[in-house]
Amino acid sequence: LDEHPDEPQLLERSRQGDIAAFNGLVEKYQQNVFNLCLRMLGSPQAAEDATQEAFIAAFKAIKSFRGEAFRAWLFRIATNSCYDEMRRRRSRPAMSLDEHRGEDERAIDLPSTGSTPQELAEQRELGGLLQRGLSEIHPDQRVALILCDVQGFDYAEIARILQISLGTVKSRIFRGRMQMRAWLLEHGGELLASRYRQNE
Amino acid sequence: MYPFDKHNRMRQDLCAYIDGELSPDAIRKLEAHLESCAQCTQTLEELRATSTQLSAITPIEAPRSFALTHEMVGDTARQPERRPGAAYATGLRYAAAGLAVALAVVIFVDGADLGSDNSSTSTQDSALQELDSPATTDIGATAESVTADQTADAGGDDDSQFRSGEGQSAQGAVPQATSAPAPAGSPEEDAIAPSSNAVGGADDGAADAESTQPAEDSSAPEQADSANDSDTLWTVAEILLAALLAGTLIAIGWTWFSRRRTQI
Repeated sequence: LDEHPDEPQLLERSRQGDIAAFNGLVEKYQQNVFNLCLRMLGSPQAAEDATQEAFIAAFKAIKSFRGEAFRAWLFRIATNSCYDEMRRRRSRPAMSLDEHRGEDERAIDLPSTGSTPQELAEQRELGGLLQRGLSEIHPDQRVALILCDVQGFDYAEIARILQISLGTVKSRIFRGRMQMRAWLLEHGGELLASRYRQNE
Repeated sequence: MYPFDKHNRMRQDLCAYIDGELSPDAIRKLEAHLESCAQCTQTLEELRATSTQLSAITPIEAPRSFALTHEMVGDTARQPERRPGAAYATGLRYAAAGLAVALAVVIFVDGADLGSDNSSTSTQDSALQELDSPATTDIGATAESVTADQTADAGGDDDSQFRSGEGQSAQGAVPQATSAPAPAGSPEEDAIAPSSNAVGGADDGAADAESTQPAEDSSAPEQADSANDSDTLWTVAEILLAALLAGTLIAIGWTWFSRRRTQI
């Protein structure tokens, strides 16, 4: 999350239309933005489209960027891009996110804590479970939860990114996490119970 | 048992408690509630485990580079930043160029007219001197008619001087500027020469002189006044144009300097 040492210079040059300088910022943030889009949309292909659109929109709007945290500003654009992509895919059934459920489960990954093939298989299964659970949550709560738990933003940063009040952030994270907990308890079964026991 | 609303309110603080977003006072109240509420304690642990699972999701590598190309962003790339004052910069440049040309024209035309004005003024002065001297010596009607004739000739020379000046200005600025003192001297000679001619030609021009005398007497000072007014107007116009040009150049310089500063 550290700021790139040359980031202010890259930003200044990007404001003047220097596409090469902006690509320096793309290189730094593309993984974070892609992962946000992937968790939001659940489809690698949709996430790619949304990520690309987010960077294009960011470059076109960078002249309006003034001093605030660039990462938060970029994530606001990426979030909007995800909403646009969801609307686009809803309006085109052929592009439905549901078609990519199989990909989603492969796309999500968890750290390799298990050494046996059974443990690794469980991790993959849990990864798929988490992504499906996220997909069940309302997008407003989902994005707040992803920004908090997956991307590591604090509540104040999330409020800035989503342009909502701190109280709303707190409420959305609570409801989203409660729904996720219910999903995991319902669908996780023994798998989740064993993970919970590991954490204890 | 806690009232339902209080239990529900405390429950809503569980996530903020996990995330370290509660105030010390709220933490104290929640922990007091948790000590006596098994349901909230269990929910807290499940929510904590859920958060841990989500946090454990490993970021995956981007499948490709999302670097932008010029085709993707169209005209946005490589365009200089349009600062709030940038829209005026081009206009200012054109305005400065226009003002510079206008100033050059004014100076040129004024320089041409100055020579003519000096000539005409000196001619008028000499003519007036000629008018004064017969009046003071009072040599009679013939002398008056002769003087009137001189005035008439001097007035005619005024016209010829203007025409001469116009002709010179049409020939170009350099000859006019370099020969500026010459027209100032020549009208005096012209003014004297017609006087001798006028004496010789008094019979021929007496009638005309008598008929034109009152008009010529009043027109000569008016021409001098109008020439002075014209000079004043030109001077004011020059000052205004110079001030506008200087202001415009300063504005352009400031714009250029600001742009350089933002590029650093």
